[in-house]
Amino acid sequence: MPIGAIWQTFLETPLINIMVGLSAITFGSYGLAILVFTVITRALLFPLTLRMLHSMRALQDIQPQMQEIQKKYSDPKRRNQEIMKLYREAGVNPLGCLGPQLLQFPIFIALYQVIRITLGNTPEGVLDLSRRLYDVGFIQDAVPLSRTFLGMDLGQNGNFVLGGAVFAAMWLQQRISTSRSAATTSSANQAQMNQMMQWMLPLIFSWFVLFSPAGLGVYWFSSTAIGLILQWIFVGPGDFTWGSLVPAPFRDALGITLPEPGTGRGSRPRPKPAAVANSDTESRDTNASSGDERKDSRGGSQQGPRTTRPSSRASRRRRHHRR
Amino acid sequence: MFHVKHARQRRGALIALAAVFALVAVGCGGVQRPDGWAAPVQVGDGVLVQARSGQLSLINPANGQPAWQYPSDDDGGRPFYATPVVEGDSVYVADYKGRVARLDANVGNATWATDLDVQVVATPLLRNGSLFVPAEDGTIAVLDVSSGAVTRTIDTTDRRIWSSPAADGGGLYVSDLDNGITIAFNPSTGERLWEQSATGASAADLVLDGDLLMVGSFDRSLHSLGVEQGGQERWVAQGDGWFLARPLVSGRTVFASTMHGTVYALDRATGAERWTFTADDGAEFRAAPVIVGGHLVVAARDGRVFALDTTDGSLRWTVETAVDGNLNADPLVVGSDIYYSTSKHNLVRVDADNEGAPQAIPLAAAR
Repeated sequence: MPIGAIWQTFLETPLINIMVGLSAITFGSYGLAILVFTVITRALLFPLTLRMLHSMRALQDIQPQMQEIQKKYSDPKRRNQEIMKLYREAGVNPLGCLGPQLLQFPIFIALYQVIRITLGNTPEGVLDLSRRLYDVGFIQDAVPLSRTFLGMDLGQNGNFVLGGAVFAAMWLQQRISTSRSAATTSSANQAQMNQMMQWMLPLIFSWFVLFSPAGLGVYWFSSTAIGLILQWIFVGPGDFTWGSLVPAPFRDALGITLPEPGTGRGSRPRPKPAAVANSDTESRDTNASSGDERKDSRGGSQQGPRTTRPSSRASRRRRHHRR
Repeated sequence: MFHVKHARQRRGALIALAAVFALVAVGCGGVQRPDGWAAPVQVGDGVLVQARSGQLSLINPANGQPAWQYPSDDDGGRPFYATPVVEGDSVYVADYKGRVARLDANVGNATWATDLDVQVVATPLLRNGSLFVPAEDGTIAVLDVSSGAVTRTIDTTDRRIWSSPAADGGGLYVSDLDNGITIAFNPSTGERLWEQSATGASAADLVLDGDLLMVGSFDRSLHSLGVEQGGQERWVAQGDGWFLARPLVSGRTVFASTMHGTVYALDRATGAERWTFTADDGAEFRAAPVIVGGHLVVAARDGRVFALDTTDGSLRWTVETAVDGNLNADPLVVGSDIYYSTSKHNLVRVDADNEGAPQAIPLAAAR
C-alpha cells in the first residue's frame, strides 16, 4: 500500500469524518468541533503527556548529578556512558518528552489538510468530500460546513490575532518550562539554549499558524492552552510568577517582588556549588579510579550536603529487588 | 546486553521517526490547488476550453490547434470555474479571483476587464444588457456589458454562491452554499421578492422550467419550487447523495444525478420516481446530464460515460474515456459529439452515434 494511501485511509479520511460528525453534533459549528476534537485528542494523549511531564520533572531532578558528571569526565564517551547510567538509575528517558509532541505533529498536519478539504478552500475540495465521507446520514447532511467561528473565517489564512495568541500561549509555556529548569541549570550553554527555545518555538509555530487556515490556529492555540493547564496542575509553575512578566524597571514602581529561585511550587532548589561537586562521590569512586575523572575537579575533597538521588520507580524497583 | 538493547531501541526510535516524517511529508505534499471546472463552449466553429489552469483556448476541435488564448500569458493562479457566456461576437468570462472580461470572439482580445476582488465560481447570467456575476461573498455584481462598469451590487445572504442563477421575466433566482436559502430578486432593482429556506445548501446550477425552479441540494434532495407561488415547495425528491449536477428537464420528465452514482428520472409535475439507474464502483455525477441521439448521457467524475434509455433507464452503451483528471465540468454537445474537459485540462470527444467511441483531442499543440 503506497504511503499516500496509508495517510489517506488511516488518518486523513477518518479525521475528515470525525470533524464533519463533530460539526453536526456541535450545532453545525466547525469551530466548536475543532475545540471538542482538541479536548478529545489531549484526553487520548493524556497518559503520554503525564509521562512526559513526569519525565520533565525527573530530568530537572537529576540536573545536579548531570552537571557533576560533565565536570568530572573529560572523555565524551565515558561521560555519555555515565549520563546514560544516570538516566537508567533515575528511570528517565530523555526522548520521552518528545512522544506527545511527535504524535501531535501528524495530527496537526492531517488537520491542516482536513480543514482545507472540509471547508472547501478549493471548490474541488467540496467535490472530493463526497467520496471521503462515510455513508452515514448525519455526516452526509452536515456538508457544507459553517466556516465562521467567533467572527473568524476558519478556512482563511493570515489571522494575525490567532498568530499572536498562539505565540503568547507557546511563549508562556516555554517561559514556565525554562523558569523551572533555570533554577537547576548553571550551564551558560543550557541557559542560552533555553532562551533560544523560548523565542524560536513560538515564533515558528505562530508563523505556521499565520500561513495556515485559521481553524488550525484554533486547534493549536487550544491544544497549547490545555497543555499549559496540565503542566501547571501536574508539575507546577516552578519559579514562574506573573510578576516576572513585568519588565524589571517597572517592578519596583509597581511593588512587585519576585520569589527566590527554587521556592516556587514544583521547583527544585538550586544546588550549592560545593554540594554539586561533592555529591554522589560514593557511586563514582570506581569511575574516578579508572583515570577518566578530571584532575581539576573543583572542590572534590570538600565536604558538603549530599544531593539526594531521585527516587524514581526504576530505582525503587532495583532497591526492592536487592532486598 | 545493555548496548544491544539500547541499539535496538535507538533503531526502533529512528524507524518510528522516519515513518512519522514520511507521513508528514506525504500530508504536506498533497495540498490541493484550484484547477477550475469551466465547461467547454462553442464559439463559431471552434471550442473554447480551459486548456490549462487559468488559460482559455479557442481550439479547432479537429486537431486541437488554437486560434487564440486568453489571457495570452499563462496565469495559473486564476483558474476558471465559471463557464464562459457567449453572445454573438462576444464572450464573457469570469475567473476565480474575480476578473470579469468581455472578449472579442474572433481574436480573443479583452474589450474590457473589471476586477471584482471576490472569488467567482458560479457561471454569470447575461440578461437585458447586464451581466449578473454571483460571488463567494454572497453578492451579485451587476455589470454593464458595454463598458464593464459595475452598475450595482445585490446583497443576497452574505454566504457563498456557487450555483449559476436562473431568471425569467419576473425574477432573478439564486441559491447559496452556506445558508441553504433560495432567494428571488427583482433583477432591475435588486429588491428581494421572496425566499425559501427549505431547499438546503446548493452548489448545482439552478434550472427554471416554466414556473418550476429546480434546486439540487446537499441535503440529498432535489427541490422543486413554484416561482409564481412565492417559492412554495411543489415537491421534493429524496436521493441517495448530493445533487451537485444541473438537472435536465425534458418534456414531462426531470433527470437528475447524484454524487452517489445514481440517475433519477422524475415526473415533472409530482416528483414521482419513474426509474433510477445506479452506476457501480463509486461513480459520482457532477457533470450535467444531456440528451444526445435520444439517449440520456451522464458522465462520472472517474471518466466513465453512460448512455441510458430515457424511457426506462436501461443502459444502452458505456465507455471509459481514460483521460487524466476528473470530469467535473458540464459537457458541450455539438451534433452527436459530446465534449468533456477534465480537471487536468484534457479534452475528450465522445461520439454518441458510434456507441460513445472516445477520442482525446491533443491540446498539447495549443500550449
